[in-house]
Amino acid sequence: MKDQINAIVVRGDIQDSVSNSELEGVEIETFIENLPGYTEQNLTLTFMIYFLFIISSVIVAIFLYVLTVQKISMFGLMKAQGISNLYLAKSVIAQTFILAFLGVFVGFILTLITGKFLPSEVPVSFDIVTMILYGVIIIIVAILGAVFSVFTIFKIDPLKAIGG
Amino acid sequence: MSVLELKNVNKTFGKGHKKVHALKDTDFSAEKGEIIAIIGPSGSGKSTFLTIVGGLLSPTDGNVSINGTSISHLSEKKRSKVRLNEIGFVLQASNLIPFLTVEKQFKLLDKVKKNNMSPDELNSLYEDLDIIDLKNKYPNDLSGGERQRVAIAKALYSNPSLILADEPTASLDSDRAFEVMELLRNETKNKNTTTIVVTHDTRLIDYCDRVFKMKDGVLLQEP
Repeated sequence: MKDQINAIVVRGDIQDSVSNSELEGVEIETFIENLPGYTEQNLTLTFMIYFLFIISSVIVAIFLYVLTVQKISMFGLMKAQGISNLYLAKSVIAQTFILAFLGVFVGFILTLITGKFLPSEVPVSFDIVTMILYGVIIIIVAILGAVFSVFTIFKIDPLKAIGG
Repeated sequence: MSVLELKNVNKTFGKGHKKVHALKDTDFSAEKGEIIAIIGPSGSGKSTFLTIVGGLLSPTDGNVSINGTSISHLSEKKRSKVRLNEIGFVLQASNLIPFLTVEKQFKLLDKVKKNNMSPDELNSLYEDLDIIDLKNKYPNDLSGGERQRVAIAKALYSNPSLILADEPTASLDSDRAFEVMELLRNETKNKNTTTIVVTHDTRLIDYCDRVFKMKDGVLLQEP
């Protein structure tokens, strides 16, 4: 029983409680972080979240790129008719914003609805501020993905559209 | 002043022994109210001619001017502006955007360019070309002839000084082809624009004021 310790939880300033005694004062947060496995488990979760970010941004970028590639001949046609690169780029980015915003919005609502139906035993809490922050990040990443598509549009040769 | 003027225009592709001389010392001019046919077999250089006149390609040397403004040495950005403001294209495969209804094709042009036709003019154009019932249809729901009529309307809508038609009748049967040519001719005369039709179909030349023949990169006027 050598590894066992006893602890007393107290409210208020810890230094007052432990002065003049042989007790060692530790903040609750520090104590929890030093519990065996706690930090490691948290780190794993954080990593999972970051990887999900990377994966979803890759998926979104590929999705947008495919949407653009499908329309190459049409963009060529518009360019042949003299519609400027700038106009096409603006439209693609605006459309991406609308798509990403709707996607995040629907995801947000679905998450909250799911949360309502989860039994109270499931240890889950939704931090609205974090969710909004992550949503904004996803929209920004989607728009960065659209910028790649815009470069593709710039490179389209209008000549090909008319089969010259 | 001619609407379109080419002076000593040459175009070559490639280098060394692979060099192709697609257009040789071409002189050409077109006036208002004219409809001109350029005929020739495929590979004769008539598509090259059309792309240079349309500001899609720069000539290797020589000068191309539209309404007195030289376009041969402009940047792609400026040429794209010339295409938007001065030129209407009627293409072989049709120049319609598949996911816009007929009516919205025109609205898109309104968004990118000013000085298009007024709503009244557009309505009379709809009537002239007999496409008023097609307003809410998508290009894929139209027949070949209908699609080409809408394409002509779209080319005319921006009030261009020059209409370039690349094989406008390629996908149509004879009756429809004649109908489309008749329309192009009438609209050219009514709106006092200039139309150049590039085709290999010699039956269409009856509808044109002047006919040129393209052979191995040389453009010659037919008597």
